[in-house]
Amino acid sequence: MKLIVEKIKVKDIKFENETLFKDGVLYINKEDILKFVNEEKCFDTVNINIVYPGDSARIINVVDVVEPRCKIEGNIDWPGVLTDEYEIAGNGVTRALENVGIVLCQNNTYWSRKWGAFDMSGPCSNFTPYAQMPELIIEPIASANCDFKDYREALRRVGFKTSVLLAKATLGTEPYKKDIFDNEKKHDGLPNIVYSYQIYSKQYDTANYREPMVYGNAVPDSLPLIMNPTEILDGAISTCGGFRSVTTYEIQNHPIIIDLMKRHGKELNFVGVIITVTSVESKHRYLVSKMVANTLKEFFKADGVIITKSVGGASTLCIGAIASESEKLGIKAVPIIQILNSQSNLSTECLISEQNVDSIVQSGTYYHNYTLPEVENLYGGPPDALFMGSSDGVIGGHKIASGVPAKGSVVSYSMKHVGMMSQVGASYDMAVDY
Amino acid sequence: MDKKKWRVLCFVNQFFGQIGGEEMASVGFSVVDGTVGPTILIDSLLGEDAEVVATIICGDNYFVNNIDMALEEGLALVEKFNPDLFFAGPTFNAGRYGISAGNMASFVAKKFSIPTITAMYEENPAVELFRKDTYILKTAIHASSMKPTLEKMVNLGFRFLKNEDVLGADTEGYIKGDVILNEMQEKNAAERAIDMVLKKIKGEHFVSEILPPIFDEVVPAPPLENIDKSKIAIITDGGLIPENNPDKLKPNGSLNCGVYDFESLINNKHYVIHSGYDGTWVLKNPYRLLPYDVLFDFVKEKKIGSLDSNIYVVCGNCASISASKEKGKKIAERLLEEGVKAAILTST
Repeated sequence: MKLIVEKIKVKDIKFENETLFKDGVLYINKEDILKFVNEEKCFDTVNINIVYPGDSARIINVVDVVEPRCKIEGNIDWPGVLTDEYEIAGNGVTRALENVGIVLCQNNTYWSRKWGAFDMSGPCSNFTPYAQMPELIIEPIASANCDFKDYREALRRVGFKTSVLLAKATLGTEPYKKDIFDNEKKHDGLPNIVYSYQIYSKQYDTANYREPMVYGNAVPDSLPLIMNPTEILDGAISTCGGFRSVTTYEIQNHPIIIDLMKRHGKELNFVGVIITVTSVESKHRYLVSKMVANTLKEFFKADGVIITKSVGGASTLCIGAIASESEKLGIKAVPIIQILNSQSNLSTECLISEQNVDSIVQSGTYYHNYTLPEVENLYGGPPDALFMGSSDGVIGGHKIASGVPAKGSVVSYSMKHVGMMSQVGASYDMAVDY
Repeated sequence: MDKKKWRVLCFVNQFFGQIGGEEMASVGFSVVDGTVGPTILIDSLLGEDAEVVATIICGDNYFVNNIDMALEEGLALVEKFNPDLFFAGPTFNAGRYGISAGNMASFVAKKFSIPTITAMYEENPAVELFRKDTYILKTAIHASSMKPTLEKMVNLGFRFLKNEDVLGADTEGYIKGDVILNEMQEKNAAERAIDMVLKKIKGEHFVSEILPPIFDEVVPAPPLENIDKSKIAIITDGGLIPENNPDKLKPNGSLNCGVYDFESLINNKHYVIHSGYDGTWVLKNPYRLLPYDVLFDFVKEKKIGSLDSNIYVVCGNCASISASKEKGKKIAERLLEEGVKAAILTST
């Protein structure tokens, strides 16, 4: 499969009476987005705002950030999410707008503990890509009897429709570059590398709601699936309301897939992707890890594998088991994990306990705290919204702690600050003993 | 206007304070205005921006024979000088001196909220006692490395005074204080991982960014001889606690444990603080977490002797091994007090 991603640079975004792209500026008509909102039953109204780098602005209740993209040829937009019919994603030409993001917020809801937040200025703004580009914020207000499952999926649809709308507005403009993703030809003498991508864990999906992440389908207890890397870049996988340090933006620009593609044919053969989910039963974990290792060896003839995780401790155990089983079959495995504590030291903090897993990358501790100043403008929640710190939270609908006023000075932390920590390897931090 | 000169206060033992050797180890506190022994070099290393205002001296035996009293005396002296920075030692491998300097550095930091620095040989027993409370720079085993050690102490001290970044333990040369923080790398984690797998395939040298821990070997207790006469308890890491959270458990990385009467916990408002699983099902039926119902039947059927009316609760989410050990010790002591012979641990 071959995917071409055409890139358009956006200098600025502004509200206007018509959605169009002119001289590098993307003009957005709010009415167009309102139309998408009105197509959903569960929204009363919606707040739509733009924030710019350097603004004294805090965005809370962030569940996703999306890069504006549309298909130009060879496929349909967001198959399975915006459509009932299917095409396999990852073929043809896609247009992507650089330097602009769509931020989706669950305004004033208590449906998820894992809300993200970020500031457009202040001490963390240099560390998150999303504070360095203008952001269009969409935060629908739920109607009284709205079910959170409907809300989450409706919010994603509105976000993705907006993404397509904005990308299509640039169709008359020539892209400044074209990225070609093509791993069809295998090169003799180079090592075969696979990416083992754990996308989901049902630990936090309460009330039996299973986030529909694969072509709009839920995969709660899935056994390993094989995918082409370009599918993932092109809309096969997207999050849906459960922020946990991965955004759809990071999936669209997946750093591991893109880097493996770049090195394909030069340093390695990028032979494919295996999708897994976190096992919540050990029996399932034993099976998944052995199936992945066996698939790597027998099907992909892999020499090496990069493995990433989706949530916390249970997810780490699962990718540790995959790494260990792979090493047993002679496949070099590098898992990327995070450190789940901050009051400890690294000699006891690796949750992978298999001693044959001895090549691990870690992208930092969740709980590196940052004190953020009071802000002028708050988005993503009502003016009196609360900011949940690392010891606050809500799970399964049970409010378990309070939080502090979100507009004032707050203490955020790496996992919560959207863009600072990425489970799929986009972030630059590493944990160090102090 | 004159720039403020930072005030530096030092603590040394009787030997480095030039009072005398082992024969003078029982001497109490004294103060030298300005410098003596190693603090002369500290003062000259500080240069124009800071000065050693005084050196506090105390004999090794005097300090360790009554630590509480000595600390009280020592802290009262420190208060008089209103320092911006406090140095204690270096103590190298000296055991008693390690205890006095470590105590002074730790409690001065706590009481006056100023940076404190000491320096010790890594295997000095005082290291384990104070590494979480003050900065302990690593030294060689003998005092012959005095000069480079003082240079390191002064360098680190200035960084605190000037509010400059102080990096991780390995980079700076101090002993780990059990704090984990993030530092930015040149490459993102994706690139680092791909580099690492390629190196590993080629057989080239690479450094894993973390490794699986080496676990302690725990010898299991011998089996119960008469379970039908023994008292049994339930321990859980499921984080079911009273609504007012009296023991301040946290949703993740919790450091505390709670002991609660089962009946009163269940009959009053309670919730699941553990944020690693959905507590809905436990709240609907607490026996899912705490199998009291089954065990109660066992008591009636005389399969077990009795059931402890307390449950022992921790929140296991993201629990560090070191914190878990501490909690385990506390719970084990309490179980012994209660005459419990065996415990069932339930997890989530």
